[in-house]
Parts: sequence; structure tokens; C-alpha cells
Amino acid sequence: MQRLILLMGLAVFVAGASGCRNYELKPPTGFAQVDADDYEARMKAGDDVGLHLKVFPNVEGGTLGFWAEDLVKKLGKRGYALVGQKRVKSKNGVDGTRLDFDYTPPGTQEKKFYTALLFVSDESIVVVQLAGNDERRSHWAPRVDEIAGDTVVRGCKPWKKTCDGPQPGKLTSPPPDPIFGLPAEPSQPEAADQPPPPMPA
Amino acid sequence: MRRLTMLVLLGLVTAGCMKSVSRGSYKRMDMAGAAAPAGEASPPMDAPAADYKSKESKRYDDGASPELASPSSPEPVTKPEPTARPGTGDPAVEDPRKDIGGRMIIYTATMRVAVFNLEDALEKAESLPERYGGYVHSMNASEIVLKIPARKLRTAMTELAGYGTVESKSLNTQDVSAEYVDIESRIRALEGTHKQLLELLGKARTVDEALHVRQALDQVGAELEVLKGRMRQLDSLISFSTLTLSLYERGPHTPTPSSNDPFHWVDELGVEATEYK
Repeated sequence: MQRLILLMGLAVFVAGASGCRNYELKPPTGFAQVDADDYEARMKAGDDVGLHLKVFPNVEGGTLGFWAEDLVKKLGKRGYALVGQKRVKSKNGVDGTRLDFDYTPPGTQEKKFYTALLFVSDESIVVVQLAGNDERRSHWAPRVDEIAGDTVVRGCKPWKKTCDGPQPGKLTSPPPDPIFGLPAEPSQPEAADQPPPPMPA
Repeated sequence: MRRLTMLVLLGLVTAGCMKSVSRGSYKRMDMAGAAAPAGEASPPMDAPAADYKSKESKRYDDGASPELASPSSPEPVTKPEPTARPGTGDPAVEDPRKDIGGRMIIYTATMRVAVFNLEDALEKAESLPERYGGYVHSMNASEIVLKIPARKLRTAMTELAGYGTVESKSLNTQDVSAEYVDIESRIRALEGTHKQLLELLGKARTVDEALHVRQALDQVGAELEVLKGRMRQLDSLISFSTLTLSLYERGPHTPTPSSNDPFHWVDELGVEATEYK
């Protein structure tokens, strides 16, 4: 009886220690945690690369394929170009998708890399984002799978198949929406099949 | 002395008659104005629409401004148009009625524009009135009040809309034709009186007589100055429309205001929300 109470107490302690969060991610080597709560965690590397985990509530019917497509489409309209897509697995075996993007903030010439690890459980959508200057891409890109493998995603219901859902099909970024207020970019004659540059208002 | 007093009184009565005659002639001029072709009656200025009514305010969303989009549609003349020449005004201000078909309208416009780079947009807005012959009335960190020649208001507003996304705009009008013509008539009448009083002053034989006429002259002169001042103010307000431009900066992740997307989660994602600087 005493042993049972001890075990129950231990279970309650473990649950409390994890904060009943829908995620768990300790700072990967090279990162220090800036802040964390039940819905997000921010970490920073010495080279200013940021790691930002964000949790959103999932809705009925929200699958990995649905949210991956939504993410690529909306980021694409903001100027993010998808350059890579692959399957990843979380520490507790939840299937996710790694999406790598190229991005240049409007009005600047600074190229950035942006990687989103998308995991979907019945209760939540967990996105682990990694972003920084493009020169740091080669340093961090090989470590992204490792970060995915360190992430724990909770909220899977055994009687549902959301966590074991299929991977999204091959995704492509749509052309970016024009950003009003920005001067028109010079036309590039060799890129005839490219989407037209953003037009000013 | 009594005769002189009588003359002064007669002069003042005559001035009163002139005022009423001027009003009568204004009515006749109205008829002439009404007989003018409708096209002449519509304001040829660029910005405000022809169908803005006195002291009316119109608000519309971006892209939904039929009034601004079709300014050339002539307004049927429904009320008499004053056609009298403007009176004394600031010589620096051109005849305000020359370009607006005889109507005396004060235009006041406001615009709210979301821009990508606030500093650049403010800089451009600051230099804009110079090209249109206007000036910057006042400005702060995100708002600038411009004085633009009325006939250039539309062009200026179109140019400012190109700075970013127009969140809202409005145009208020105030028709001051009646007040303007009334002031003109009163000025003419008082000038007549003033001239007569000066003649009387020349005929005064005693100091007492001269003092009486002088008093009347001062009264008429003061009233004339007040009216001329108001006329100058109206001329300035009619010639230069007030355009208040509010600017605010939008980031690359700013959601589109018109979006009806139920899932905004991606708005919170991206490089800006992740990277450290």
C-alpha cells in the first residue's frame, strides 16, 4: 500500500514538474533559454540565431498535412520561399515535418534562413522555429533533426490517428503578396518564369 | 450743425440702402449664375467631388470613393451661384473662385495610410506640398498637416495613397458662398459710406462738426477692417485645402486587415518572431 502511494505521488510529481505542458524541449547545445511558459519557449545562441517553440491549440480535423499546407501558403505570401521539406520524428515518436525556407525581410538585403519543425497532436500544434542570418545556415542546418529528436510533443489521444497521420504532399510556396509602400524591384529579364516583383501601390 | 448731423444720418441711411440693394443685386446675380451652364458650376479642382454639399462630411473606405473617382460629373445647379468678383483679399492668394465655378467651398481632408517605412513616408509627405504650391502647416512623429491648393487636392491625395495602404480617408466641405457674398456687399456699402463721410469731413466748418464726422468715420473704418480680415481668412481657407495625413508603420508580419482567415496562427511565426538581433 505504501509503495502504491509512493508511486502515485511520484506520478503526480512528474506531471507537476513537466507543468502538464504539451511540449518539452531542453535548450540544445549552444542555446540558452530566454524564457518559457506553457505555450512557448525562447532560446538564443551566441551567434544570435533564435530558437522559438510555439504551441497553438489544435482543432477537430487539423492534421499535419492541413497545417503544413497552411503554414507554407501563408509564409509564402509573406515572402518565405520553401527550399526543403522532410519528415522528422519527435523524442516520443510523433511524426512531424521539417520545412526549410529562404527569406529576405522586405526593404532589406539581409538574407535569412528559417526552419520550422511542425508537429501536430490532437490537442496542439507545436512549431519549433529556428532563424538567423543566412551565413549561419550551414552551421545549424545539420542540427535541426537533432533538435526535432529532442522535442517531446504531448496531446496525442490513443484512439485517434492525428499523431500518426500521413506526411503532407510536396509543398511549394506561392508568390509573395505585394507589399505596398516598397519601391518596385528592378526587373530581371533572365527570370522570365519568376513571379513578377512586388508592385508599389 | 443740425444740417451736418442730418447729412451724416442721410449718409448712414444711404449706406443701409446700399446694403439692401447689394443683397437685391446678389439675388439678380444668383439668377445669372443659375442660367450659367452646369459644367461651369462644377468645381474644376482636382480633388473634391461636385456633389459635396455644404457642411457635409463624406467617409468612405479605400478604393470605394466614387465621389473622388468621378469628379468631372457636372452637378446640376440646384441653387443660385454667386458670380460676383471676390472682394479684397490677400494678394498672395489667387482668386479662389476662379477655379471652382463661383462657389466658395472650404475643403478639409484626412487620410490614414499604413506604410512600410514611416521615416521615408514622412520625408516624402513633407516635400509634397512644395511641388503643388502648398506648405506644411504642422507635423509630428506620425501626423502631418498639409495646406494644398484646392485644385491640387485630388492629385495630392492620389500621390499620398501611393505611399502605402490607405486605411481610411475622408473629405469634409463647407460652402461659405453666402457668407462670402454678404461680406463683399457689406464691404462695398461701407466703402461707399466711408467715401461720403470723407467728403463730409472736408465740408465741416467747426471742430464739433469735424469730430462728429470723424467718429462716424472711425466706426465705419473699424467695421471695414473686421470684414476685410474675415474675407482674407476665407480666401485663404478656400484657396488652400487642409489635408491631415496620419501615417503608421506596418511590419512584414502585419496581417492584412481585410483577411477573413479564421486561423491566424502563422501571423505569430517567422524570422521576426524568432531571430535575435
